[in-house]
Amino acid sequence: MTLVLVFSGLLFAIGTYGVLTRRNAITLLISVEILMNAANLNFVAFSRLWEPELMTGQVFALVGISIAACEAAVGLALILAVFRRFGTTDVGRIDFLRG
Amino acid sequence: MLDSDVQIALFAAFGGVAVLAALAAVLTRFLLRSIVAFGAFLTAIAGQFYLLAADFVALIQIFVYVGGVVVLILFALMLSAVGEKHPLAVSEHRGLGAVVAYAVGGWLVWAAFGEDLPEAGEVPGETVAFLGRAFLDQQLVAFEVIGIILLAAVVTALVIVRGERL
Repeated sequence: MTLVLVFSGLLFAIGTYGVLTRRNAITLLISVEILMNAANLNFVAFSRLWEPELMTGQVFALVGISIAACEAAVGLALILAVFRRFGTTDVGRIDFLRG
Repeated sequence: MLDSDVQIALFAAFGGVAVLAALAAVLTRFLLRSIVAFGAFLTAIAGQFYLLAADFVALIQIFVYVGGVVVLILFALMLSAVGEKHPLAVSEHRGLGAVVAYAVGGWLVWAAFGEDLPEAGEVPGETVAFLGRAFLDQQLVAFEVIGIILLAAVVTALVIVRGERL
């Protein structure tokens, strides 16, 4: 169990670093997906600890995967719209609201 | 949890692949390499799911993530990164980001060793029947909410992409 938690903690840290340091919108999205996968790993692991026959953790992991797919679809649609408007996917260069 | 030494070794191997692939996806400065590493990462996570007695979740991970999300991201790359041959820019606050990530990771790993967890229970061999029963019985609300969210996401994505002027 500890092994699973260690791995998901490491993956979460990697995802955090990606979210904080990347400036391309698509790599930001990939970093967020890494974070969600680390969370799903924990859900599946904890599913075995408490009432495994109810599968609550696995149900949550499936819900998480669905949410991630929705998020990717909407996020990529936004990225395409922004690219058509600004000609870049670099989130640091989209400064439309700067006074 | 993981019953035999072989399973533990396999789990650690998948975990190593996942960590390396995630690092590559986050650190590389070329978008296509990042996406390919992300695909490898997702496949390794699916292997970990399978070893944790979640065969159906592993299957869905492969179908939805590797088959769906990665292809979607590749499409976005093809439509948006035209002519971007130079390496991607990264934030100038990399040191700060590394410190925060190190703190978060250190805290999570420390917490993983801190708790006394109960023994892992026996998981039914075939999870699909139990998952189906759970989705239509105890977790019915979650099931319905996923449906609504998927519908909303599809409509939103269509509206955003179709709009003539943002």
